[in-house]
Amino acid sequence: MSYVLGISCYYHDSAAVLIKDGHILRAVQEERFTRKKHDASFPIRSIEFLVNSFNLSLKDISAVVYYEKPFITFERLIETHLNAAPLGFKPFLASVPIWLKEKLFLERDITSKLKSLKGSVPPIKYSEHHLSHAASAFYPSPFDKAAVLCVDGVGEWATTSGWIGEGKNLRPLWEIHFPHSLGLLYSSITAYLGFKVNSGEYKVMGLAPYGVPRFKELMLKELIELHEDGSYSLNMKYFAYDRKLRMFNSSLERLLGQKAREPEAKLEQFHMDVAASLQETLETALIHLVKSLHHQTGLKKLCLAGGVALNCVANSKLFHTTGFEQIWVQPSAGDAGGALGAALAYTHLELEEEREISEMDSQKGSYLGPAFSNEEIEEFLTSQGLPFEKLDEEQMIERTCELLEDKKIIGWFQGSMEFGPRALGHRSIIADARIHDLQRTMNLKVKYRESFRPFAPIVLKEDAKSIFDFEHESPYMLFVAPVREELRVNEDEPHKFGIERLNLVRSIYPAITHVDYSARLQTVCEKRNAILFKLLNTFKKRNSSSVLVNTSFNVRGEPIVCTPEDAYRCFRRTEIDVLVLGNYLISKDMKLPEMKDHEWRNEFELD
Amino acid sequence: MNGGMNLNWTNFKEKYLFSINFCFMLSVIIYGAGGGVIWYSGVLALLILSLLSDKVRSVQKKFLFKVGLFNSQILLFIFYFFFFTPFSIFYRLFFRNKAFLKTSSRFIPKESISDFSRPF
Repeated sequence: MSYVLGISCYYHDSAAVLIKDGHILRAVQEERFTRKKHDASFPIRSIEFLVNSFNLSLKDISAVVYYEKPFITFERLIETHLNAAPLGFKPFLASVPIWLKEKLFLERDITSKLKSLKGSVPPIKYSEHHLSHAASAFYPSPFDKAAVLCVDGVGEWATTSGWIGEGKNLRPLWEIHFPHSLGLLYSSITAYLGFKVNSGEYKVMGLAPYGVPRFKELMLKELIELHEDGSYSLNMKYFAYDRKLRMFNSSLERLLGQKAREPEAKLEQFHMDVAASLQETLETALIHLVKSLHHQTGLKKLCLAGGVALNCVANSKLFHTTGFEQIWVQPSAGDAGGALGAALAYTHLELEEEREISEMDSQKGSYLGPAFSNEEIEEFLTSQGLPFEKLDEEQMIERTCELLEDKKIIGWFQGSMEFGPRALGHRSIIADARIHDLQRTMNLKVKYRESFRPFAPIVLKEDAKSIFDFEHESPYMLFVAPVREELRVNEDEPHKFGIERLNLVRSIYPAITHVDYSARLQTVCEKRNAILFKLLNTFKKRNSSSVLVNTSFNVRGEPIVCTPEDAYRCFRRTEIDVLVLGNYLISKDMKLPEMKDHEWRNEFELD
Repeated sequence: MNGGMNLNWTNFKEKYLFSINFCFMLSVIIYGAGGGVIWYSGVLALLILSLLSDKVRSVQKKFLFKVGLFNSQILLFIFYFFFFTPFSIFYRLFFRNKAFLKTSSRFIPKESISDFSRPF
């Protein structure tokens, strides 16, 4: 019996994962405890949570596996500075002292941090960054043999890598090295559009359908070269991340004909067109790459990981264009998932543990984080002196459906929290997808974020085909699909552009239908999420609709809520009408104690 | 008014040793520069103030941090422009990584993975 602890930290999205005999036990991101979005600090709270959840001490753990090889990353950093000298003094000054002081002594640092826990520190092991991604994509997948593609910003040297997974083995095929990176291309234009790198990429993806891809040809001609063999190169003339503290340079501004947008400045049609062009450029490059991988491997199944694999619009395009028939994407495809992959890679490749393949997958719906029992929830509510309605599960489901029918917005807190960036129905804000103007209300009054951002639907798996043009399963919200034509109610108005198109009702589910009629759907089945399945099923019986809006339970800049306390705080700070915590219900109509919390918006840095 | 001073050595060390060293260092500099008695009186006054006030101690720490940062930047500047940059010319001529060169394919074949025991 061997426990392996995987960790990722010091770049962004630090996380810890506990594996036992090749089975994922629990996984959690540090930001959920520290309440700092994308927290990169050492995941000591996550490790404490994992160890305490199973009454373990460090001596029970056979190895701690870090998700990358720090010395190779340092080598890449030095070679990049050597390549840029004498023009890269500022980034040299910003990065080298940190490396010399901390990152080069990672083992010492990890050991000293772990010493605060019970037991002797297990041996520290290291997995390559892209091996961690590849393992996180292949091992939990339902496939015995598959091609694996990892695409992210940068690991050590690799930015893109191809693999073949079979049984418990993972064999590398090739890598594409820094500075040529699809992730960094996307992040550079994200920065150009005035959004934050490493978190604004979702916004660019959501903004793209408002625009016309009029710069696509220019981008494919100037920014990126697609080679015949499927690989690609970036034209570094337009990018600065290899020699400056910014992602792009003035050549890019000249190429696109406009200065970069300042953060929070007004979004113009030009920005939407750039976003649309970038999205299509990425899709073209990715299809080119995946086609080549299909040709090289001759396989029909594909696993994806790396930050770029969170681009659900691009993922969906891979189905009919590349030869792969089945695709499985790691729901925590970014660096947090690296912790999972590192532990799995060590378990299967080094400890040679056999791999058990689950028909569904082994990710357990990605519900791998902290859970709170009804007793714990009641204890919290009582300790705070809060009024509540105590129900049994059936009553709670019925009552929630009634409230949804009354057009209420509900904070939904059930079971173990999700591992990865998406809320998959355990820490979600839900509402009826048929409400007009819900997108605007939820963006501006609940999430306090940009009005253009779309909301995703949750739908019963068996109903997905009748509502969306989609033949596959999407349990992790990693694919988009168009709403079926017969459910559309209005054609787009040709004289309206950009954000003006936002308020048009497009389908009988206006809250989840994006301006291009697409929706980022999550299909729900009983095996993965029994309580959400019950809710959707009951809602369907009462309303002949099994589509609800599902967005993460947080406000802009805040990590998804983790504890009942976080959920209650978020409920009070926003215009969420009702909070459902396990079987307990709290409504804004109840007499709630006053909360002196007016300065809360300063608590979270805008993303 | 005693700035939380007590006789516990650990607390004393954590709270005041930095300020005492700071004032000692100032005295040495003044001695080196040949400063008069008035300067030493200033240092004594600063020492007394720093024993009494958290704020003064925090200002001293911030000041020395800035001095340290400035010094390290000068050292890194010298290293970067006088050693690293000349070496980079040599590197670019003979050892430049292929990733920075123009090629018709970016695929780098990879046959095995690195050992888990090594951080490299």
